[in-house]
Amino acid sequence: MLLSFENVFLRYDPGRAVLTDINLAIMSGLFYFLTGPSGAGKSSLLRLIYQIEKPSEGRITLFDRDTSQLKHKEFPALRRRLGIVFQDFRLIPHLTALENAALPLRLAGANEEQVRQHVTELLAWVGLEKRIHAMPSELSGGEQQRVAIARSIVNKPRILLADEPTGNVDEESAKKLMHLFLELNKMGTTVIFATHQQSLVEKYAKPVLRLLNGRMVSSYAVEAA
Amino acid sequence: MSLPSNLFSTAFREQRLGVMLSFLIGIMVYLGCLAMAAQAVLARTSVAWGHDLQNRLTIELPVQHNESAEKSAERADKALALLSQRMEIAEADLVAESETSRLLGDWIEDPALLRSLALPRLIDVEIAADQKLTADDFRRILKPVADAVQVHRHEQGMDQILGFLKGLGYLAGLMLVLTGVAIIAIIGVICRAAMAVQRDTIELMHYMGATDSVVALQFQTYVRRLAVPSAGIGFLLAVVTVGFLALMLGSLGGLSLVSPVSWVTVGGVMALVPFMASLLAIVTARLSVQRLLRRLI
Repeated sequence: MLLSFENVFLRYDPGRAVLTDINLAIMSGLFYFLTGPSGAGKSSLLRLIYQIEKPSEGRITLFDRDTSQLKHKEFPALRRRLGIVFQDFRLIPHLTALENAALPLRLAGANEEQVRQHVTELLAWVGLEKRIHAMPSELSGGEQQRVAIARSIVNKPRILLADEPTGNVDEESAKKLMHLFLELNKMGTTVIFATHQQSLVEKYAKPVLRLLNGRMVSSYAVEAA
Repeated sequence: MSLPSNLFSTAFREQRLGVMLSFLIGIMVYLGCLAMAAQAVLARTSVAWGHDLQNRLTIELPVQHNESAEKSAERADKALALLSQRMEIAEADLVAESETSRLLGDWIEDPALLRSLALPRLIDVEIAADQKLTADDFRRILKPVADAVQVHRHEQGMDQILGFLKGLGYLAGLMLVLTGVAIIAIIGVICRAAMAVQRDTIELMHYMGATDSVVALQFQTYVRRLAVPSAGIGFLLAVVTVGFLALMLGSLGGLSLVSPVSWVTVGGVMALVPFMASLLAIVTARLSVQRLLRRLI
């Protein structure tokens, strides 16, 4: 088991829980949809996974480590084993596609030759071989998200977290992005794909984690439509 | 690891925090250099003056009743010979009668009256370093030639001026310390503002597994790149200012007041200011960013 939540609560105010009594187990190599309406707590749950938030109660186990026992200095190494894709891409506007995608690799200490070769290959894999020196402002929404995907997997993470990655792109781009996520999953990466688009969930036969008002209301596999 | 050098350029370039930082560091270094120069000059001058005054005195040989000018001069020469024999005395010089008359000229305007007065003979004495002679010691030494010598120590009455000089020196030192405190405050505030502007980038770097020290190193590098040149400019402007002041003082004849000071030494201690200011700015940037990052996430 890669990740588990046991009776996890998240409260920003003492009286108001954003997440209530969450229990889940994420198995290695699977593709999960994390669904629910806006404000259900999907992003908060993802923030708990990548350790930007700490649970108010309960226990989170990630890569066989109880995260409450981790020291501040241990978080960076843990986060390098996670990849994250955001709805708003979060590319650094004054860096090229290549520089943006290379950031995690540079943080991990790779040398310039490794960075250039690996990131160029990766950008080619996401279909951006001719746009590697383009600035984010010169790329379409779909292309920007592909750069963000390349950035999220450049360190070969074991879990890829995607927070509404298709929310800001057109339907055609969304289809291409979805294809990339499925390909990554086939290559062995565990994917947690947060979305409120029920049509996506229904289209693919993948396990679904459904949140409603901060509670996990279902955790089961659905059949392909 | 070589992260892009413009990672946080939004805050430092586009939001003009870099310009503000450069400008303020330049001003602080300029003021700090002036304070350092003043401190060096005043400290050295007060020590030199204090040393001079402590070891210098004037002995007055009063004219005896009905004593001729020749007799008085002969007695003064004997007194001078007695003093010059002593190991404790580094130097003893007879003050010329014309010099004594010139000194009194400010009070006695009539030359005829001045010539008619039986002026005492004065001997300027410098006691050797690490030696002490009291007024009674001088009276005993000169007993064979004069009964009632008077000893005037130069330090008497100059204590307040020396104290004032020392006070100015301490004030300059305090200004230097305050400059350092101001640099710490400026860097702290600018780093905080830059981090607020770049919060998304900082968060993103954390998501990607950046350690606090990697993020802090980026800020530290920006601050170094901005602080070092502006500190250099502040220093050069201060050197020009001090040089100009020295020229002015020289043209007014006041340079001899601070003559014991080597201007190379003053320049040398002034050069410490941009070095220390840059170091302070870099260290403050690193520590303040790391402290804020611990609170952020």
